[in-house]
Amino acid sequence: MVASPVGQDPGWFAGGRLRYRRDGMAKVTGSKVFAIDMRARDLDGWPDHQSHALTLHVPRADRVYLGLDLSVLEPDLAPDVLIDAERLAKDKVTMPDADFYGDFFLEPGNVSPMLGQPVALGIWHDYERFRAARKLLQFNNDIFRFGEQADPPKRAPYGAARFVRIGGDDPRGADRFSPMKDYVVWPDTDESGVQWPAHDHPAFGAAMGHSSDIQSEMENPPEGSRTFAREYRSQSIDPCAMEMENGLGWYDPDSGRLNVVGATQSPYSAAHHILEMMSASTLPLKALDFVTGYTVGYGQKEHQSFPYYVAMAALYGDGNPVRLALDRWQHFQFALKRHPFDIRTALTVDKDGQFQAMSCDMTGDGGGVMNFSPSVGTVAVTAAQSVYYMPKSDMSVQVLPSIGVTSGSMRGYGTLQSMATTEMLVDEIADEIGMDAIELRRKNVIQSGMKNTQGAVPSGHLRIGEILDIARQDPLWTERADRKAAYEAENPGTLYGLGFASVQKDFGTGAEAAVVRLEITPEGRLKMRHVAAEIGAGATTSQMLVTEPYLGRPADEVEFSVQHWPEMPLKTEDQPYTTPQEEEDQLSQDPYWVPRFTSPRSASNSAYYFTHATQQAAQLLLRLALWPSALAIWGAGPSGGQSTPEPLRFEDAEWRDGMLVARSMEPLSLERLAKRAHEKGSITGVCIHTFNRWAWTEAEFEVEGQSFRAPIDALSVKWGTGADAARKAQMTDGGYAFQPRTKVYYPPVQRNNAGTVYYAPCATLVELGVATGSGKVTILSHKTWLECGTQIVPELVSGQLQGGIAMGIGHALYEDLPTDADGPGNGTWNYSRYHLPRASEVGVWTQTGHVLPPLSGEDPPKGMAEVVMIPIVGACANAIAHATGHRFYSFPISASRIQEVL
Amino acid sequence: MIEKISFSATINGQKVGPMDVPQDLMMVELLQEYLNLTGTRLSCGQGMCSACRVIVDDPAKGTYTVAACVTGVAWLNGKTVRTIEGIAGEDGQGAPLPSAIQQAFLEHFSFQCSYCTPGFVNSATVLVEQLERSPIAADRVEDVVLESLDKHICRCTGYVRYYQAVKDVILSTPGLTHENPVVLERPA
Amino acid sequence: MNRFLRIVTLFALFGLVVLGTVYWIGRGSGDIPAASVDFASLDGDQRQEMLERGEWVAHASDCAACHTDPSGGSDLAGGLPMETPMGTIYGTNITPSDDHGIGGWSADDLYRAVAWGVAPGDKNLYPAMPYPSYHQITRADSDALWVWLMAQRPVNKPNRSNDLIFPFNIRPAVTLWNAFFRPDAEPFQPDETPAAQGEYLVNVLGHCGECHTPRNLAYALTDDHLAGEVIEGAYAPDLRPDALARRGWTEDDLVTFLHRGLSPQGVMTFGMFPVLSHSTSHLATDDLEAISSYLTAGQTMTGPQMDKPVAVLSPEGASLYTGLCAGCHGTDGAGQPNSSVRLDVNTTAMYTNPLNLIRVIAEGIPERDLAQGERMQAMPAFDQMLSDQQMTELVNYLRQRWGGQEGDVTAEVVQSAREEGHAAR
Repeated sequence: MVASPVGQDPGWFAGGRLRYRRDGMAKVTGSKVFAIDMRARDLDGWPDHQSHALTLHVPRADRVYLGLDLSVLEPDLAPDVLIDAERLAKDKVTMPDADFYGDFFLEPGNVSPMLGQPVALGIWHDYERFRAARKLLQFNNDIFRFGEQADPPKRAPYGAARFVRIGGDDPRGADRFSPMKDYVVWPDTDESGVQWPAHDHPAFGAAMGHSSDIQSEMENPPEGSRTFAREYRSQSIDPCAMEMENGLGWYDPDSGRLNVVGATQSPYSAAHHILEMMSASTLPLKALDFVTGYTVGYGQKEHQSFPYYVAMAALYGDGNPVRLALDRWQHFQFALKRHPFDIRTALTVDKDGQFQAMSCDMTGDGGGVMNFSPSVGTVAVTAAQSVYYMPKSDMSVQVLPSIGVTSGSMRGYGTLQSMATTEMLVDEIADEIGMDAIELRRKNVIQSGMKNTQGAVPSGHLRIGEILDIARQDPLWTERADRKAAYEAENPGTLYGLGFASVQKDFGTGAEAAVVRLEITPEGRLKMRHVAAEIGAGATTSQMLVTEPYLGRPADEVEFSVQHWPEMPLKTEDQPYTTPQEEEDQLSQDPYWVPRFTSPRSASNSAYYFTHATQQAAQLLLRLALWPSALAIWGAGPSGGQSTPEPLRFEDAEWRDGMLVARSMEPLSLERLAKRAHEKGSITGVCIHTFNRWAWTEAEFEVEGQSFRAPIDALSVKWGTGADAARKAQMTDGGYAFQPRTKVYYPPVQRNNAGTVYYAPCATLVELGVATGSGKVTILSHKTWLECGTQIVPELVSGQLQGGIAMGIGHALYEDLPTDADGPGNGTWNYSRYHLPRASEVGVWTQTGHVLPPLSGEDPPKGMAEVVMIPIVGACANAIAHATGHRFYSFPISASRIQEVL
Repeated sequence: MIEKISFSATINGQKVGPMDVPQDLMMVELLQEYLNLTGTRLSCGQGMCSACRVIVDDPAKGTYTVAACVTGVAWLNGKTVRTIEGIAGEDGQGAPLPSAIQQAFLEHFSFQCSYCTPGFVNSATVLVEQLERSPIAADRVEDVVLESLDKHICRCTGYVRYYQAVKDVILSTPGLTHENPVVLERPA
Repeated sequence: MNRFLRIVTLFALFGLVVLGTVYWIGRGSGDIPAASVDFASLDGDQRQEMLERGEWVAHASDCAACHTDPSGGSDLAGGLPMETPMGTIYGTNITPSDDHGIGGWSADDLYRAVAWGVAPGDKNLYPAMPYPSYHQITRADSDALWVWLMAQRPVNKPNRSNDLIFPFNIRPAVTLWNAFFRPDAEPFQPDETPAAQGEYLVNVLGHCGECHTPRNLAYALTDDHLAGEVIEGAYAPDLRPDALARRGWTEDDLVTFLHRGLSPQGVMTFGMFPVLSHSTSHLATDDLEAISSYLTAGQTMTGPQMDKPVAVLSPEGASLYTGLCAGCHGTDGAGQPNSSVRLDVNTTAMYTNPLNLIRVIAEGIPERDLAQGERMQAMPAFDQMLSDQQMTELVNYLRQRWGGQEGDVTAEVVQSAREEGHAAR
């Protein structure tokens, strides 16, 4: 692997202060940081000569595909290698988990399940022939031979679920019925659709009965109450990661070694799935080296199939490294999209504006391949309650296949679609019942200890109410009528609108696992290995800083995106959601067993979950390595040295100016502590594994006579250079010694039904102008409030906030992809037709963001990169309604849609 | 048959060529596939996101930027070009010495994934050089930054930290604006 | 231009001499037909029907083309500058604002203004208001338009006074012009045949000839109907059937072009872009087909022809094309879908007058939404990058390679076209 330009610049952290991102200098000077920047000649040990591959994607799904006609390339430009379904079948190279990722290639004789499905991959061994051939193939639909008109294959829905809850009289008391207390309804599905269970169904009948009761009560609300039901539509969005899908692979057929440089947010699963891809193959695979560059994705590069195409292409490079990079047209044609949803939401409100019941029925379009559709659906519908407490709720979802490009897990994971529309409904209800829209929200806001629609109690203190209180006193809100009149007088023909929305978004996946290793060198340098990969959000900067409170400084050296963990020899079936309790109890007896090894970089998970792991590693390094060394130094001498007169406890340890201090003891540098630990052969390194299922797993350990319990589920340690032979003999796990836990406390599997308990709240006020002629919307300014616990790096938080809002504005006003035959799978889409917001469209000079101060010194950092893009979507819709007097129910609210009604 | 032309240019102060390349080769291909200068990033491939913008210094026509993805070597033959790899200086120890714009982008945490950063650096660099020749009024800085950089698409940042950084450089560098607000705030 | 002004001024002086005899001819309006309905007794459905028809008339007659607010608010609040040889005229506020718009106008007033060019108070409108085309509007359509206009949101935006040179800054002078060039209002005889519909849409409501028909020295339309004219710094091409056929149009492509703003022959630019967004993109396919069949009547439309270059192409031109254009438009001129137009069958290089070709290359085209979801990326401006000589090479290359035109454009022609562009911007 190439020596990374990141890490060579020490200037990012100087004088005890973060000056810029750790990867900043490399990035701002255009160094090779992305996989897409890599060429074979950059990589140590790879041959310099590199081949180029091109995937061919069918642009339609309404005719039988018969095969390719590449005569346009004859005679000089034909690919040196052409791989198709037949060739892969011959070599038994298969797509890992094809139900989830789809097939590599469509076999001739079939109708494609979707537009943009690959049918073949060509490899050219020199660039100039490759580029000449690519030009002849681009936009050239004559290369595909089609037969008769026919329907794409029939498929069952990707997933469906129903969450029914009837709360008790006390929102904090016991529920009458809820997913958490009882169950989630998982209906059967087949090609004809979802089969919702009947009331007498043995497993799900009771929930279905409650569902019917809620529905009929909402249709005929009690005297004085009203039910508002509206139908919304959220469109298909391309996350538009600026770095296209790409990768570089090299397979040496003689040694059977496969090297892949990928671009993915989920490198660990990608590597494992490549092994699976080869498991039945007749091509030898002796070793796999999978690395990922710094990348970007917003979910587009999370559990996508593309890295397998790269690995597969490498197999056929005739020993040459092969580069496969989509161009933007192909990226639109094949990369994952955000799910479109049709959403029917109803709310029953009593005469005082108190919410009585909610129902939400969502139908998602999952596109051609299942991918994360089932969980996007459930996360979407369980978020639909937004920031309100619902005494009763009936939330159902189904996600269906279509001929569109596959929908994946884009930023928001379905919750943008559901929460933004709930916020639009609440705004409309406020209008209808003549109540201030923030007042109505305040009245119904979910408070600490109250339950969500799954019947789970969210973690910690809920602070969205605090944000609502601030927002409703903001002059933008209180003076909105005057501001509207003044603006419209000043700008005749343009309508002023102010809109508000507030949401809280879960972070994490309910099965968050992480691995971190921290050690000190004999010279006192702090070295870290971490599963975190950089996707632009800054995790590789923040995770290094996390060690500071425990170890006096950020890590000095680090290896991120680590796939190989010999020091953590764990085993897992990776079935954290579906393993029954009894079985998990059994499995967890084995101290090497964990429910999952690690999680991808997604779900806004680094700030909370990875930070927890890094903190635990740092704390354990302090407890097991540095503190004993400090005690030894302080206690050196005939009668217990300087420490004898002081009652020292571990809790006394703290860092001042990079030195370890405790009460009145002599300050000690990390260098001195490290030297001592290594000389004495005591512990100098720890590697830990953590697991969270809407609560942290804890385990008990006994290490060198110390018994302790910590919120981790596996631990390995390393002794210093002076370790005795017995200890050295124990360090067989990648230089570490695994320390079997003596007891483990996994959160019960029932917590899977919680949906979520970790929330970050956020609200946005936006003011905009609507041109009555063209319908064009101009963002005048916006203001956002966010609560995310303790900010690790405030500049990174604010950057996420600003970027999320811009993306939300794109969703609300501009971005749109057809889901029919004119959709991006036909290969004719690019930024030309797809309108990404520009600086002039996001209020670049007039926006502000505010972050609430943390509740305590230990208030954990919360994942916030998704929540920030959501309130702006509902706020824009509400502002347009305020401006025009017309409610829009379909995104994007484009100029032409506004023009139609004005 | 692939038709070729003989290409030479000055790129980041270095003579490149003469070399035979396909006559319809685009600049971004030359930089990435022939010269291994991959900081010029390809994203849209149709000249509209500006991730690949490079600087052309033409003695007769002045300095301007072009989208390297749609500008052919046929146009750049014989010309003088700056890419992101040539913007920073060197500190004498082999480490990069960032330009004022690069330093501002660092300190403002302007970028996230950084795919579009080289384009922003180049356009902002040309803007600063233009203002050195023809300064503007301080109250026009926001408008001028927007006019100059609006052609750049960024999907991560919402643009705010790029724009603030460029504005800071313009307002804090003497000679780029007529009335420097720092000066105005001083008591008369 | 100078020669033109001298003649016009002479003409105006002559007009003063015969003032007494002709003043009455051009003054005020003639008799007007009675209102098509009794507005007071309209029921809800009838009113709705009139509103819909009125909206259609507003789109078809493209009121917004001139009456839009360039600062981006209402499409009817006025303020758009229109450059004419006589000076700058600003579109007026035609929202129902009592203070600044036409809130006080009756349906008769609107008919007089539209068909005769006379506003209430016998005030002559400048013939920038296309009453010489609108004079055949039916009274029913004028009335429907009135109902629709009065239902629009009033915008209290004051009108901007015109900036005209003498003697055109004296409104009564228009009376003289009217005496010679104003056709009498005579409502078009309704006829449901597509041909008649097309004629009504093109010549009356659409007032296509106002830009596409050559004008005489007095700025009045000549009899060379739709034969092409340079207006506001751009060439509005010849729309006669044989010219359209020569440039490779088909009836279907014309419909597509008017509906979406884009067809193999090109994309809406210059003055046609606002026509697309305010007018043709809102018309039903039937209307567009009527327009298309009227414009192509009696002509066999063979469609785009990919002819061989008319001459040996210059290597300089080829190199400029490959260096600056081929990245988007393709080495073979095939373009890219939904972003860069085809050049191999594009009509801009087919005009004898190279003005539009030069201006598009020099000034580029902004990124913008066309219609029905079509959106075009920005075309960059090459003004700074190309010398007059280089532009000449490139323009001649395009003309000869795909335009079927001679490579006879000179650097002087390029220079003056660029100046015209600068003036028009």
